[in-house]
Amino acid sequence: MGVISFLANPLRFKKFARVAAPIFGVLALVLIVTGIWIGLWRSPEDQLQGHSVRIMYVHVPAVWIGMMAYAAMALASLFAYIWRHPLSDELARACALPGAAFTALGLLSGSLWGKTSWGTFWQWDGRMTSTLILLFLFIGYMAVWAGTPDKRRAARIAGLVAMVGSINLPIIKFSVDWWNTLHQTSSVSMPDAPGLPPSNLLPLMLMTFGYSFFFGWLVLSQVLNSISKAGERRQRPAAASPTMETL
Amino acid sequence: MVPQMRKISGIIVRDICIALRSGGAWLMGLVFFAVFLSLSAIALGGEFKTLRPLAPALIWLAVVFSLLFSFEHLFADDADDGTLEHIKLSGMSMHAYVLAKICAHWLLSILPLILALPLAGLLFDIPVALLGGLFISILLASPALVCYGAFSGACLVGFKGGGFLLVLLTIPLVVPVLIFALGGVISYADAGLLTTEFQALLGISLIASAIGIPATAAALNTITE
Amino acid sequence: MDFIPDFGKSALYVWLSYGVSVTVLLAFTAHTLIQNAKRKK
Repeated sequence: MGVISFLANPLRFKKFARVAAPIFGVLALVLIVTGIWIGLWRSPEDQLQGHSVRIMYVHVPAVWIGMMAYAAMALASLFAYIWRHPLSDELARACALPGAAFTALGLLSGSLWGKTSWGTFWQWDGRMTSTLILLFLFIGYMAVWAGTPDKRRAARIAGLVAMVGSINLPIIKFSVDWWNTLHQTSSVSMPDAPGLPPSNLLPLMLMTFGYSFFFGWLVLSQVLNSISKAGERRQRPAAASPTMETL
Repeated sequence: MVPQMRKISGIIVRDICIALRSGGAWLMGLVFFAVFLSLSAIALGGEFKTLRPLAPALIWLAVVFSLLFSFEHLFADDADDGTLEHIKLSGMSMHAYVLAKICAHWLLSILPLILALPLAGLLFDIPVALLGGLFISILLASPALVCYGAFSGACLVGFKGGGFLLVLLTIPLVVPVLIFALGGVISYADAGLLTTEFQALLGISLIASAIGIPATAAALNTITE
Repeated sequence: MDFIPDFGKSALYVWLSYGVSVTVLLAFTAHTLIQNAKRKK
């Protein structure tokens, strides 16, 4: 809580973001490049899955960031809703597009993994299905932002949509998992991170941290940019008024 | 408490009167339900042998879609003609107003569908036990469906072409309902009323009402701000 | 060509998933860098 109230001040947030964003960006670059290097060149193939385990190193981080982005979006919306804090609105909005993109990447890499292991691009596997629904939630949130002309109202409505969605996410996840155990379409279910041996876990961890820092860099930069854009809009009419007087 | 109750029942009666005077527009959901089922049966070849196992899923989908399209005007009309402003000025709590609208909508759009279920059963020649399961599952799930639909409807007041977006916003929330309802229909035939699926459905409906009504009220408050 | 590792039968899918992921990351990077440059101007 202390951190949040500290950063709630726009000036302090700006100061923090200006320092943190480049650090996040550099860390992301280093971690992702090393992760890809180790993932493709310096790690052994898995005994069970063969080389297709390498797809996991881009799949698992993408899905993880997608879920984290939704959680961050809902949390920021909650703060924005309770304290009417415009900065949190910007934060929530900045999470949406990267979150949706990472979720889509997770689905794509997941289906490519499925082709090598299940023989089909798609299975109604528990994880795949709930990731797909997560993508729908992101699209709905962004559509609300895009379609409501009044920005303040759009922020509040989209925030409500994010919060209601986040309360439902665990229920959706639980119901889809329950439903998936009924028919057991996939003989090989997607492996989770703890199931992998250390030599395969290292690139997965590198990529996960790399993606997280990348996401952090994107969101912080986006918030900084939209703050300065809003500032420009506010200053422009003020700058115009003296010229009116000179006329 | 009593004046609030009177206001709630007043709005319910008003909404039903408006619907009955609208020249049958409130029955369009029922027509959509029938058309959707007929078209599905035709597309699937019209053999009872292939239709029977698919019937519960098709009937549930028809219910969900015919409901989803009905929420676009639930609050939009009241917002347009100023009723919403009046409600706010009259001191009626927004939660009570939402509750009244939801009850009226349940009577106007879900009740006809439930009454039409036996006919849908005839179209697909499904056994009575399955029909009973469908009836109970729709009844148990209806609070969740109405609350989430009302929430999306309130979010999209004043939205151009909000119909499709309403479906998009509501579908993810309806996924658990659909899963447990269809699971319940199938296990009702051998396990009876007290199945895990129906309990889960009841739980979802309770959660949905607890979230949906305040969230809808909050969205409407934002609009009238 | 020894430098490019051989992934056997899953080669296409591995390269495709990395290719698309890296492309999307680069697109986001480019967009954000352009926006940042505009802000600092």
